[in-house]
Amino acid sequence: MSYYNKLRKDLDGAAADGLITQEQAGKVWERAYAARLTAGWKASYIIAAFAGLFMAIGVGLIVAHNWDKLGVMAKIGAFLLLFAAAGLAALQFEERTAVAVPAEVLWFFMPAIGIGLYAQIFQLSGDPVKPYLVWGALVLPQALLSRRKLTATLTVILLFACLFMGTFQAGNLLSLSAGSSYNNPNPVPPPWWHWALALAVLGAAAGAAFYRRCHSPMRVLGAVLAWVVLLLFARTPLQLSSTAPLTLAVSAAAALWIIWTPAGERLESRLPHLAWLLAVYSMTFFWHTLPKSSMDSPGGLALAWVLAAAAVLSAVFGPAAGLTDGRWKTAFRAALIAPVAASLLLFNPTETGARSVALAANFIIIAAGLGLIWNGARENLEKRINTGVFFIALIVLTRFFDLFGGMLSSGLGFIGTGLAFAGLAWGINRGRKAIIQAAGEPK
Amino acid sequence: MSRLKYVLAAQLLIFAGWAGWLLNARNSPAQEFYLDTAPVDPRDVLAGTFVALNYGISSPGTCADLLKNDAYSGPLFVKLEYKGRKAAAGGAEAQIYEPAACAGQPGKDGLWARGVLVRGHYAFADRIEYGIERFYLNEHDARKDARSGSVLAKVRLGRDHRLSLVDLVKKD
Repeated sequence: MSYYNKLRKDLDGAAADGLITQEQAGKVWERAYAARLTAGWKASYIIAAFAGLFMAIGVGLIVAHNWDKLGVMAKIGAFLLLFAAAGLAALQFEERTAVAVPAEVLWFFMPAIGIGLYAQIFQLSGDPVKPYLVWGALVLPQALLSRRKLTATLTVILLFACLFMGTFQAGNLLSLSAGSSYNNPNPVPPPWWHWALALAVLGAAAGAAFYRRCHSPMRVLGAVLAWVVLLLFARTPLQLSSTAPLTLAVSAAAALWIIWTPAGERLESRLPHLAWLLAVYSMTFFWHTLPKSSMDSPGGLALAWVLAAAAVLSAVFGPAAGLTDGRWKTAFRAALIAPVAASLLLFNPTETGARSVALAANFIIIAAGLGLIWNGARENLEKRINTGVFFIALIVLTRFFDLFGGMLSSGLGFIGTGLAFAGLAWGINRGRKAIIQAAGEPK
Repeated sequence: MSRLKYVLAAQLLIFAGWAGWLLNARNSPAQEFYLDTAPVDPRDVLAGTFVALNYGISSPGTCADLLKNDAYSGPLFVKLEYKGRKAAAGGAEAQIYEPAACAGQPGKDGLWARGVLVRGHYAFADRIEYGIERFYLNEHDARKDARSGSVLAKVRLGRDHRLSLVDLVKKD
């Protein structure tokens, strides 16, 4: 029996038993069945998109075969005809998903196929990023104007790929990195127009994503922040070599990602929270390592401080994860500011400074875990409680392997943690009982 | 929809115009000559089958004086001339052109090819690229198994001192 048949039978049964009315049973059924129709439409859309992708790959491979029996004019003519046909089919049959979607995907890939074809015919070789950038520039208007979001989705991915592929590799028109340090110890700074082009690509990618709403703002923001942070790590004119400003920038970027992810998305997506956890977790290992202090670029230092200032200001004045309770809001803001503030201790590159940061980071994760457990218990959100337990368990297990060493001290450490968890469970249970009791009392 | 039609028309015009420009450049009169190739590995087949080529003229040795200045990032112009070296290829004897001079600007006389310095991981891996590093061919063409070094590249010097590949000839 299919799911929908069983649902129908259960709803009819519930209505017959008087649990719900016949009208309610009908409405629930309509709602569930409408979801099925949407799912079917989505499936056909995805299949049609893959049809276009396979056709584009097929055409690309035929071009790659390099048919030497065909003359130059025949190859160019056939390509232009196919290009026009794909574009016109996408426009002419806009309403018919089965035709328009594959045609649109093929149309998206036609400039790339054309660039490959011309490279073969005219034996063109050179800048590895330029063909992709030209492709992105050619399809950008199509992405902005197309009725469907498919071309925009693909164009944004293409532009971000160009940005990451180009800026962090040497020897192309987007290069901001000088490549390996084995050679060329004093690299020539990239010309100003590399920066202008890289920022234009970033702007085009992010702008198209926001304008067409084809990617979640959380992902776009994450990609932008990741690119900015990588500029500080790679061998660019903004490179930072010291641990302190790098830690400051990473913790600030993680906080910014959480704060500026729209509230609706923030609850569902774990990526920004995972990034924050990883940033703070990595700080816990400063117990063993002395922070490196080296020559930093002035531009990179300025960027790290701008990120830190933006993170603190956003945490204080920005949105607070849809939290309404003032105390939880304060706790949320404090959790985001604390790692940024703790990383300032690394600017004093001594063992004391490093260990203070490590202790603070351990404390921040445990406090965040406790807060998540407490808030999850109040809001009845099991997922949040589990995340809190994971935070604390991660710290306890890491410190077991990392710090305790002997079996006696480890054993005592685990017993202490177990007792703390038992105490926490007791406290939460008491709190829940108090809430239930308060709700039951006459006002 | 009408605006998208203009986008499609613009894309088609760009590709038709580009094809016209490339065809015109290929058919314009220019001197053709041979360059010897040097072994290179590995080969990439992502963009269709091609032979990756390296050349004797790719070594920046001739430009050492110019490159003493670490800050130099402009184009390099390498003067190519026949110094008497020949190689048997395709049943005939071909004259091999070799680097004779290097400058930041092309000279008035002779064949000056425009190149770009690409820095490698190590100093000895630095090379000059001329845009003739890939020769695309049919996937069943016997030359696809040719290693760079076993072939001669027939090139032409086109507009703006840019080299372009005309043919790949196996050495006898």
